[in-house]
Amino acid sequence: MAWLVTSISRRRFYIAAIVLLVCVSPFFYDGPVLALYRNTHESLMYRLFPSSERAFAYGERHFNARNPSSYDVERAAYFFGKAADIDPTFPYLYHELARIAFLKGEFETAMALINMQIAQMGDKAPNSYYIRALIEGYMGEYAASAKDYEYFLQSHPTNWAAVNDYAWVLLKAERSQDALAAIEPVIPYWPDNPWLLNTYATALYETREYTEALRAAQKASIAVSNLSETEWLQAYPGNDPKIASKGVAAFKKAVQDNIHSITVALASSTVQSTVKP
Amino acid sequence: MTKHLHKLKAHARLFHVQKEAAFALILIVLTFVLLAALPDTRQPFASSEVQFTDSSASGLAIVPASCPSTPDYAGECDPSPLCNLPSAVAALFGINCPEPPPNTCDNGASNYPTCTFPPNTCDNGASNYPTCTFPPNTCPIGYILGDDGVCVFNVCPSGYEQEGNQCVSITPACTPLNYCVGSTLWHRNATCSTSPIQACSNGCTAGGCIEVAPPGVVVWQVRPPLLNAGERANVSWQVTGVLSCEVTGNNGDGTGSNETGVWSGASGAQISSPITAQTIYTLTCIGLDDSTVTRSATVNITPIFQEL
Repeated sequence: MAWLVTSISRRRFYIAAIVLLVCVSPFFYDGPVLALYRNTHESLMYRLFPSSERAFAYGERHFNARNPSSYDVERAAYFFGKAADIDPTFPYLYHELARIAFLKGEFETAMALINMQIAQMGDKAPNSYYIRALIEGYMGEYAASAKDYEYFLQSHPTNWAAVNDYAWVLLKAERSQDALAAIEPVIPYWPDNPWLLNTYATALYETREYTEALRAAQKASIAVSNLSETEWLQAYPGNDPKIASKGVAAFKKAVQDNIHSITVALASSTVQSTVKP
Repeated sequence: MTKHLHKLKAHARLFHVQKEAAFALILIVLTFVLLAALPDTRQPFASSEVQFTDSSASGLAIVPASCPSTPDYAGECDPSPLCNLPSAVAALFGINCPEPPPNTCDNGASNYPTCTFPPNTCDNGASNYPTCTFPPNTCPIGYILGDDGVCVFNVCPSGYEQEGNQCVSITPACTPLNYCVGSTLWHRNATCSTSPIQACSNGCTAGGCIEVAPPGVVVWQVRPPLLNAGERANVSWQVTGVLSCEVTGNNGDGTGSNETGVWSGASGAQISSPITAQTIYTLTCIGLDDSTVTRSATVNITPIFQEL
């Protein structure tokens, strides 16, 4: 450094150091400065070299829960839209647009988009069936949702989230025995998964197996208390990392409420069986 | 003595340089700290999934997830791929892969964990969960289940009409919907079929093309309207909602053929060349909606009266 300062003029050295700092420093912080730098860079690159591949890649960058500084659903939708303008047949384009519409709560639009994706790729995209099942579940179309989950489970039989969600729509359709039959074989794969344990507890409760339900709910409570925001985001990959703490809190409250309900039901059933002659 | 003095001077110079270097280092650290302290002002996006818990028939909270929604990837919700190898190999990596329970599905179904049959194992396109025994509700609409387990066509229920051996719904199956895919407007009709209906030149949002207002002339002035021969006029214009505008005079002003050059842009103010005869100035604009708007103004020369 001393050699540099003496060999070139001091003013030039400071100007060069500041310019270098401005250029390099964003890469050291995963924050708003890096986001601004990236956004400017990608806007420029897209304007210079527009292509569906580039637009899709930029869309994916902004639709990734693991990348907090880049997460921006509107920007992701913008680039997916650009990709659609260039090449409407680009793989998984409608899938991603459907996910965004789903997250925004625009379920009808999400359905139309995911149906376009399935019409385009069909059996090659089981994940699109999963998305459709999810949308149908939120729309209250449980029978259709269950069918799509079953289709996805054919290729991913031990995927805990798919089994959990499948059991959810079965429970909503008041098919609690089927829900139990779906979850039980998968529990050994995921003995500490709070989602599965919670849904398992609910299915047991619905079939009036209160003691087993309480045991499962207590295990779920232990599991959810150890649940990190990173793990929560793995389960909801399209969501804003900033919202993870709220998601974890809502989940913990749901499990605690369930324990309370099961405990009350267990106590009532014990009293009834004691009172009976 | 001189040698000592030189040595002292060299030390002093080195000290000065080290001070500069320390200052530069502090500057670098400060810049980094400042950048790190910048607040992230982006508002969190609250999706429909956050805080979503559904309730079962008896009121217990169920929490759905959405792990395998990423394209072509089942997320972290599938067991490790190492579980496809012998369990001893997976154990070497510290991964617990329990053996699947014995198959308890009927009729030879083997699709663990749900007894789902691949489509080609059941007849008549029945939804074959959990077994191929054709429960009544899995027969197509209008069919009934025969004793031999085969769906037999019966009669179409109300709300359906017969087309061949099928009952087709006469009530809408989908709510008609307009939605955007990029800058293309799509429509889904009552029978759930979708088609692009319009390419929106100004973009598409919330199920509609972005409309553009027609051009509006805010300012169009040529002053004074009457002048002495050889004097100049002021020409000014301002138009909204336009792609381009040009202003020309029949004396060559604004066309680039004389000293005034080319007059263009959505707004401007120019001084004409010396006017020696009646001159008509014309403003022509092309709007963002592709419409054209024109205005014109005439400059007259004060007549010279000669006494006879």
